[in-house]
Amino acid sequence: MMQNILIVVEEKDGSLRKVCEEMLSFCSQYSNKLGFKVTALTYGNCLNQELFNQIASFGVGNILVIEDHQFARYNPELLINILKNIINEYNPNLILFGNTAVGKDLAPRLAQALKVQMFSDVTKIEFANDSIKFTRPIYGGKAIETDELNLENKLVLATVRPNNLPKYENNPAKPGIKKLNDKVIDNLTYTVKEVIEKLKLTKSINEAEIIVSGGRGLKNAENFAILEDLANTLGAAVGASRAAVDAGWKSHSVQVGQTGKTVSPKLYIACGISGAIQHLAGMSTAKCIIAINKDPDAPILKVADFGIVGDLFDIVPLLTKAFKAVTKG
Amino acid sequence: MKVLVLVKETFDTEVKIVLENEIISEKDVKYIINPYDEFAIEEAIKIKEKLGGEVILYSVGREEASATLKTGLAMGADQANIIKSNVKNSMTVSQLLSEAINKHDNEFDLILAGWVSIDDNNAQVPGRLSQLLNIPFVNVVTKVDVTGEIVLCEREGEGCQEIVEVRIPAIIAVQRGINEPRYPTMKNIMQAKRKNVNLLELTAPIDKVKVSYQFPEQKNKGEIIDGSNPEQAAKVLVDRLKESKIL
Repeated sequence: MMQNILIVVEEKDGSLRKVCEEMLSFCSQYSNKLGFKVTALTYGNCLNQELFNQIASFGVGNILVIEDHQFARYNPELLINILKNIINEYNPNLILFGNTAVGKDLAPRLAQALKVQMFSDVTKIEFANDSIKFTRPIYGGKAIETDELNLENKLVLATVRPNNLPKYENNPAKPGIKKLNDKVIDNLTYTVKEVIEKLKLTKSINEAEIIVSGGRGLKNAENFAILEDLANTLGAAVGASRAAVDAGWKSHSVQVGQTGKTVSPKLYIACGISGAIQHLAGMSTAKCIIAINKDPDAPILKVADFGIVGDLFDIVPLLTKAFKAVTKG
Repeated sequence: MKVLVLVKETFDTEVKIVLENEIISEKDVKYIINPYDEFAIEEAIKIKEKLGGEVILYSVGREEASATLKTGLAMGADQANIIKSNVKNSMTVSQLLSEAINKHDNEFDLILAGWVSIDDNNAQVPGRLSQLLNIPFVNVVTKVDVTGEIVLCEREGEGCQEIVEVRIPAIIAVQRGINEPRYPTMKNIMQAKRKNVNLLELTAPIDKVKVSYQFPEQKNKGEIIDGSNPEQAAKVLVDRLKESKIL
C-alpha cells in the first residue's frame, strides 16, 4: 500500500517549477482519498518563505528543507549523498522528480544507488491497493508503455513529464518546515567549473503551455519574427523543426523532435513544418495541434486537430491580430 | 586510452509499430544504431585518433545486432561485444553491462554513451552504470576534452551550459551537437568485416515489473480549413479554438 510519497521540488527564480506544482497538486488530491502522506523536499542555497507558502498552497504542508551554499550550482554527486540519507530516514514508497534537466540527471543515479526500479518521463500515475501503475509514451509517441509494480513496502522512483498530471483545487495546508542539517560532503569527484547562463530573453519550450514552431517553410531566420509576434500575443514559446535548426535559423535548444526536445503543450502551432516522423516524435502528445502548411499532403495535417492549407506568411500575422482581439476582449 | 561505447540497437524511425497481445512485434523490423549512440561512437573514435588506444562497443540485445554494430566498426571502432539477452529493463541492462565490463575490460579509461535512446526514452543506463562501477558521470554533454587524466565536459543544464571536470575513469553521456558522425567509406566497410563481434552469455536477474504496450488513444480526425481566403481562415480557426475551450 502506498504510504509515503516524497516529491523533490525544484524552483526557478524563487518560484515553483510548473511540473512541481502539478506533482504536488496531483499527489495531494489522492493523499486525502487514499490516506498516504506527501512530503516535499526542497534544496538550495537561499530558499524563501514564499516558496514554502507556494508548496503548502497545494495542500502539502510537510516540507523538508536543505540549505547549503554549495547548492548554488547543481552538482548531482552532492545531492545523491544527501538524498540517500533522507530516504533512509523517511522511508518513502515513491519518489517523484520532474522530468527536467535536473530530474533526468539525478533520478537514474539515485535509483541505482538505492537499487530500485525507476520509470522515466511518465504521463500518468495510478494508485491501486498494493500496486502502482505508470503510463509513458515510447517510440516517439507511437506506442504507450504501461508499467505495473507491486509495492510490497518497496520504493520506486519516477520522473514526470510536464503538462500531463491533472491539476486539482487543493485545500491549502499550513507549511510545516523541517530544516535538515545533513553534512554536505566536500571530497567530490564531479566539479562544476563554470556555469554559462543562456539569454533569458527566449522562453523555454520545456514546460510552455503553448508553443509556436517554425520549419523549412519560414525560409530564413528573419522570418521567425512573425512567429515571435504570434508567440508574444499568446504568451507562448517559439520552437523549431530540425530543418530550421540545421539551416542555422534557430538554436538546438529549441528544436522539437527526435534528436531535440519532447514537449506536451496544451497547444502546438506548427508553421511551415511538413511533419516528418522525427518531428512528430517530439510533439505528438500535445493536447491540440494546429498546422499551417501550403502543402495539402503534408503529414503534419494528418495529426493536426485543425489544419489550414495556405500561406503562413499571410495567415500567421492575421492570426496574431485575431488572437490579440480575443485576449483583449 | 581504452574507450568503451554503450550502443543500443533501435527500430528504424520509420518502422510502423505492430502490437501482438500487448507486446511490440519485432517481426520484419529494420534496425539502426540509436542515433545518440552514433554521436558517442564518433566521439570515441575522435579521442582514439587524438590520443591512440582502442574503442570497444558494448551492447545488450539480440545476436543479430552484430549486423547493426558493423556500422560502428566501419566508423572505426575496433571490436564489439554483444551481451545476448532480451531484457529491456534499464536496471537489469545496467547490471549486465557492469558485470561484462568488470569481467572483460575493467581497465577502461572512459565509457561513452548516448544520453537517451529513441525507442524506450528511458535515459537511465549511463547514470545507473556510473553507480554500479562507482565512477563519475557527466550527462547530456555537448563537448568533451581529454587531457591526461582530466576530462573537461560542456553539458546542457537547466537554461545554462555547465563546464564540468571529472577524472578518468568516467562515464560521459552525449547529446546531439557534439559532432557529426562520419559515413564509413567502402574500404572501412570491408575492413569492418574482419573485426570481431563477440557474443557474451550472462544470466540476467529477474525484475518484477509487469510491462504491457498499447497504442495511444486515437484522436478525432482533424478539421482542414481552406486557407485560400486567409482572413476567413484565421477567423474560423480562432472561433474553433474558442468553441473547444482551448483559448
